[in-house]
Amino acid sequence: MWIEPLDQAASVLNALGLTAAGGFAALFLLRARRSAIAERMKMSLEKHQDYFTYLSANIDDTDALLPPPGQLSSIELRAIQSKLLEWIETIGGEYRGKLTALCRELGLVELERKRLSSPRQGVRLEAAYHLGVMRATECTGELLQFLAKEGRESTAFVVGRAAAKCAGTLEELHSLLLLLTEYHPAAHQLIADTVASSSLDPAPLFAELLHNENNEALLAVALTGLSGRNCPETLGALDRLLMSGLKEIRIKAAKVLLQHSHLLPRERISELIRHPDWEIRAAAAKAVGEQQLGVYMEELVRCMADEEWWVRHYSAKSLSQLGPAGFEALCEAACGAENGESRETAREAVLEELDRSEASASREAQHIPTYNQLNFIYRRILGETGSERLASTTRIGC
Amino acid sequence: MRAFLLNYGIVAAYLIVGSSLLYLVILALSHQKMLSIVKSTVNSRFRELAGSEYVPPVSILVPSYNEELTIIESVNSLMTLEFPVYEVVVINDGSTDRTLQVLLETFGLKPCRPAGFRPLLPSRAIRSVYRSPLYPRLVVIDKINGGKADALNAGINAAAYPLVATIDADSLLEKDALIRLVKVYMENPEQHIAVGGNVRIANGSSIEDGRVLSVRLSNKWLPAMQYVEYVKAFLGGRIGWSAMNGLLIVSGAFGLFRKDYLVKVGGYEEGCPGEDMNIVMKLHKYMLDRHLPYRIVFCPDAVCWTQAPDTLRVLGAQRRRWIRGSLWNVSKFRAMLFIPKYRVIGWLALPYTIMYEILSPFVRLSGFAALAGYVLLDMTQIRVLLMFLLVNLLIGMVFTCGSLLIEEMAFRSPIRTYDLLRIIGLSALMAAGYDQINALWKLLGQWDYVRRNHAWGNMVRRSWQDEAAEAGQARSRKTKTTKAQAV
Amino acid sequence: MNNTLLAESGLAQRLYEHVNNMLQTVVPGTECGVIAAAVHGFSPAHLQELENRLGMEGGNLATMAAYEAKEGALIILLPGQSLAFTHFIALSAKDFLKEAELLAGGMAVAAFSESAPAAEEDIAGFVSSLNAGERTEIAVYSGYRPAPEAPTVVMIDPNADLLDFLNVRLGLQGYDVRPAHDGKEGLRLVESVQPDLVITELALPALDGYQVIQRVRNSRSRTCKVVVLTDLTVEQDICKCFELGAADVIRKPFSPKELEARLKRLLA
Repeated sequence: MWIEPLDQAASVLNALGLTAAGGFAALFLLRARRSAIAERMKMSLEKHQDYFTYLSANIDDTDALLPPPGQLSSIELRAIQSKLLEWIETIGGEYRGKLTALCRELGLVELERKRLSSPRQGVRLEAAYHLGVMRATECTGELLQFLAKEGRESTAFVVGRAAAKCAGTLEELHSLLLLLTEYHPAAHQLIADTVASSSLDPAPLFAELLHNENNEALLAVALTGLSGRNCPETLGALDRLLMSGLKEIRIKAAKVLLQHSHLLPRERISELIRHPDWEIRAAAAKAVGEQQLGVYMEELVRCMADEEWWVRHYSAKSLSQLGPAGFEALCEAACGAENGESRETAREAVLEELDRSEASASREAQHIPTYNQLNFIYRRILGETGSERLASTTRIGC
Repeated sequence: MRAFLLNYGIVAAYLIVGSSLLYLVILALSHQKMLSIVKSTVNSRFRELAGSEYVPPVSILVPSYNEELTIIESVNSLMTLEFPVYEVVVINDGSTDRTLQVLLETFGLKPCRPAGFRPLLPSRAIRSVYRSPLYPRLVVIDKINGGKADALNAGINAAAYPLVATIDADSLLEKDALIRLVKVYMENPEQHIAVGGNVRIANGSSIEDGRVLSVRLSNKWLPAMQYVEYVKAFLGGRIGWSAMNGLLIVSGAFGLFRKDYLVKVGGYEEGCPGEDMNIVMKLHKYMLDRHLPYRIVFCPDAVCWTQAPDTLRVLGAQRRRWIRGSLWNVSKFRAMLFIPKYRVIGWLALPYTIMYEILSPFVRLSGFAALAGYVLLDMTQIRVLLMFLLVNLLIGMVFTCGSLLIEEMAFRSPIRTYDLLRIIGLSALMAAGYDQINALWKLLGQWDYVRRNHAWGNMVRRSWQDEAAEAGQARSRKTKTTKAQAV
Repeated sequence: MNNTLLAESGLAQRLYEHVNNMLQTVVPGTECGVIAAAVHGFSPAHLQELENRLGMEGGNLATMAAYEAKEGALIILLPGQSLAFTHFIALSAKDFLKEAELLAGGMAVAAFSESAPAAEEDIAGFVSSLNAGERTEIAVYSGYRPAPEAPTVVMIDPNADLLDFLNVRLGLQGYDVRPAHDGKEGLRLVESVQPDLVITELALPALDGYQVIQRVRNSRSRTCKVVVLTDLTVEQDICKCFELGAADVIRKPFSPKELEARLKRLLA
């Protein structure tokens, strides 16, 4: 009567054993196939070493680069493709154009385009990736269709990047942006980076979006893409966005606006320093120091009493960047500010600036007068001697 | 009596098979998601992103307590990451060895003011902060000892950037590991509040200048067993849970977090034996309580290498600590069990953890003992015991095989065929000994927990070179012997 | 075969005359490509076969192949062809020679034009590049004579494909290029060869680019200039490089033309 459960166990064992055996067989097959392919790729690369030398040596010739003589096996073609793709990604300028033209001549673009309609997603993705590297402008439309199907998957970014690299017109970039922001509305930075990998300059597209668009994700991507770039033609639109009901858009717009502080009227920056959003106040305070806008010293001093740590932090930092006058204001804040937190922030910034100045004075003699001047201000206002300062390394935490 | 023992054993066997089946179902449900991740990483150039100005900056926190042997190699590996803007914050948690001194000497660190330190979370007092003109990315914080959680909190206070990555001082990162994690974060910065990396065992591999040159399975038994264990746990386990957003742990050895949420949940908890599980549980609870959309994701292609204990004593202490951590957290968050709003966590992940961590050692050991007893009473029935062991073994094999397949498909696994065969052999052996020892440790850990024994257990660190040198010797010895055979 | 034998044998002399005759007879202003190969066991039948084979490559490619039995050298003249095309034809020629197992040593290509006529020492240099060492690749004779004072360049980049590419290109410009794959290896190379210039990536394994710049700038070879060629495009990184004393920073993807122009200026 005990045989019955044993039989059951035996069938479980059989099932498990079969699964494991099948799995291991698949594993070893996969490995064998991969290493065989790798071996053949390596041999093909070695075989065509002379051809690669020919390409490197003659890439600056006026004539187009020629495909290798003779028939190529498919593995040889893949080996040559791998080398060319790697070169295309590291080499820019006119040589890139010659390399992509060679890829076309080799029939690689046509081949990958066919693979783009393969039933296997993995093959399609690889084809898209390769087409992107080869800057196959004629495939942009197909890539965009493919992208629309990927939707929320993270593979959408692979296809998106390929489409960006292939895009030949700003309209295509625009449709790419629409697709990516529709399914990935939060990925502003990744989308901005994807669009930036295009060979077109996306700045005019972003500027246009700022003027006409109300979609949050699109605006955020455009503002992210424009940060760190000079684009005075967007100033009008930025003013509009500063009034936006969406906090993130306001902040991003303010940051881009502050990159052009030299073009802004005085009261504009003062407004930003007093803005109800603390992120904007902090960004404005930071910009004042970075761009040495001494006229806003008063505002910075007021910001030292701000309730938000970041605003105080950047105000103090900016004051210390504004030369002796700023330093004096900072020292005064360190002894005179009403709340303890702002005094502490100011004091820290004072000591830090003194340390920095001392270090640069000890490196180069020309900085000694500045250091002496700062030290004098420090002792006059805070009434401590240098040695006390060194002893007063602030303790934190507890 | 005999009938009872046999029945009990059979029930235990079915429980084991059942729990494995449950897990296999989970894996099957999530495999589409996993394939998608794999395909997108295979077709991406991370070097391109690693230079981009759009990548958000990261503060890497390295809590270290008595790590003088490994800290230099580890910081060296962190200095050469392919990543645009980042800082490395090493927190010396009142080490009693020369951890701080070796850091100061090697990197030419000078004391400086703690610029930008914000007391966001409570932590013990900081003695001083060091920076180096030669290594502008490096910050070393020297603080009074307060445990790992406290050190991490101090690190969060000192971190200048909105993302923090936590890394154990005895781990090495692949140079593109951080950018791979951050790419996952960038795909949805609003919702991906924590991303975990893939931790692998480096014992036996050759390591030079803070990077793993070639992957080898250790010649020692224990590290090799753990290699298999880690591959199974990370590739077989975490991928599945991650796809369902039911990940209960982001390994302390390598994870990325949004700093604002860490602060919102109150940071790491002092005196908690499993701080890495604790913080993830807190994040889950915080987000689910507020009905905020979020994901905690596992990123299998971001690889972190770590050292595994190579003696039974140390390994045992580590495992007992882990189980204590799990128990502590499970009991702390038991209120989340079977509450509709906690979804996967309350209905699946927590119950599974309880089953796997707490009940399974009982079932395994008692089932084994029952059948052993049964066979002792009647030696003719040895087949039953063998069958029980065989079931255990085959289940182990299926999981190993699945994990190795994932590794092969996704990551072009660099392991040699010889090592692969050893892994398969080892995973068979695991079922016939290691698993039982492991279950025993789990029981002992539970006992510790009940007795409130909170000793950390001492991890004996060994320098990376030691291991490599030993492996080298072993290898040269081996070549000698093969030579001798050839002669 | 050795150098002196070649020089004495008058192969260079005959080739010189040949080339100059050719340049005068074909349409003025065009070039003349030359392929040379060290062969053995070559017969007139082979010569015919080779000419047929090469004829397939271009529509009406005129080739003039000659076998110098005494020196075991095969010379192919391609009147009116540029260096690039000559190089390309050499690939076919090499395939043919290899298949027929005729190749005994190296191969070299060059092109001479009327505007830059071949001097006798040019031809001698070209012929001697035939048997310079045991090289299996086709040597390109670019007119830059390998001089003892050729500037040495150490190039550090983890990307082997890029190293290959620049190695060939800079080699043709007359630089002595030494590639390294990581920071440590690069620094060791810098110490041992004392280069005139170092090209480095910033994101390097083992030792990052900043450390490389710093150590090169502080090492004995203070005159050694450092050019950074990097994937990192963040402003602070670029500024940091100049602070540390880098002579120039170029971002990837880069234009090799620009890089070459900058190197020329730096090493002038």
